[in-house]
Amino acid sequence: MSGDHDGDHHPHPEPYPSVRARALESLLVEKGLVTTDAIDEVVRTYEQDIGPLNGAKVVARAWVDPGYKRRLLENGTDAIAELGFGGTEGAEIVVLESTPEVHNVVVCTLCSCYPWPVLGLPPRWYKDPAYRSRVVIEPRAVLREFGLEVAGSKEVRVWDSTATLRYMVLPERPDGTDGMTEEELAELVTRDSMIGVAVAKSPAVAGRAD
Amino acid sequence: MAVGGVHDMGGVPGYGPVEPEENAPVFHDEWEGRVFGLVVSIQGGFRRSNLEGLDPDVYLSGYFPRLMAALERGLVERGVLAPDEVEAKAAHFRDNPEAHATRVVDPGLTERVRAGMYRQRQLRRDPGRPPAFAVGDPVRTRRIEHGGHTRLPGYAQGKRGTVTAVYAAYDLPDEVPGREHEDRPAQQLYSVRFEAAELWGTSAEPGSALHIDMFEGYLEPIAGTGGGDT
Repeated sequence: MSGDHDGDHHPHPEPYPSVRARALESLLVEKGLVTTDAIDEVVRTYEQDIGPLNGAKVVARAWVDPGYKRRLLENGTDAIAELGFGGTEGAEIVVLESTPEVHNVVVCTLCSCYPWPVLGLPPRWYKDPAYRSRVVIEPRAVLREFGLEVAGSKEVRVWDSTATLRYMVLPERPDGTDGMTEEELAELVTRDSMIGVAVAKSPAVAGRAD
Repeated sequence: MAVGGVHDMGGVPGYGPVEPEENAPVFHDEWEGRVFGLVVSIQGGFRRSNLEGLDPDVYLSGYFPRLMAALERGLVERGVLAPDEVEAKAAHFRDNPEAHATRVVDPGLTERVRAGMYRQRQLRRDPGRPPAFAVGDPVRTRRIEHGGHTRLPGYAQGKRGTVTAVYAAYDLPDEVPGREHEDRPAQQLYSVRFEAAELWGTSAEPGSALHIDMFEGYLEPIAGTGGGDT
């Protein structure tokens, strides 16, 4: 959130989008449509409170609690609300279970629909043309660019999130996680694994990464 | 392929490799967060058709630039902003780099905006009639000729698929040009499965399929198969 430049004495001219955004904000504040602190609060909320850690808790709960998993797959929105998550861009969340037979991956070719309450705001690549145009026609090639090779025996099922519903993937629980706590399991669940461009981390890899 | 315009990207060639980013921030620049904050705070500030109606160069210039442009368009359309108002204000800020955006705080409004981010909205509607299709029904998608906003992607128009889920009914998002403000009846929503070869022919990757949400009006029964409205 720093508005300062890097402290040299040759400040670059401010990029035009930044100037224009300030103009727009200023006008809308002057017209009484919005206030400075309301914008601050939205930014803070999506930088700090609403993000993929929410979804990771949902996935970890589903991995340890078969009853919860059943409810989650039947009615994602309600089961997610049990953990206290819900709101904007999450009125109808459908959870897709990846299995040894099916690998699910989510895209929105027409814009960038995404389940905000569980994943936060989408990464830049999710909103950019390369992913949106290609994952529907060559999903395996795109997944390879993310470092994921899906076995030829497995179906890759691409979900184009075109309407009111928002999709989240329930990734497969990694091997070697027996006896791990829900909190430990949640640390294996990445944002990308809930979009479907990755699988959940294996405990060995997660351990090395620490 | 891109029958609906530049935003209708599924299957369109030429956009290059995906560029994943490690540990990316939510907002790469402060202004992106400010624009996002405006969009969330000012409910109904713009419609998706404002986004889709942008000049292709603007649309392709990035998510936050197009979000800002669509918000401006929507607010000009609603008469909240005069057409040149933002440009004039931007010129003022460009000429006065030390000037800050006008600051107003209102804890009450902030609390309402905050509550709004967590409010669970009810989007289900009563369509007034039972679903026309059931799981397992073969269907064919229609072609959308109205030229306005639709959620039926170009690559999936005129294609054969199978109903795999019968969801609930929701407001139909399609907007026919010139009739944007007319009431649109709620429609039943389905998930329809398309085999990759049906969509892409010989370019299809083996072992993949698409599942796409479809409003009832996007679908027609395939005659003689016993499904749908027979």
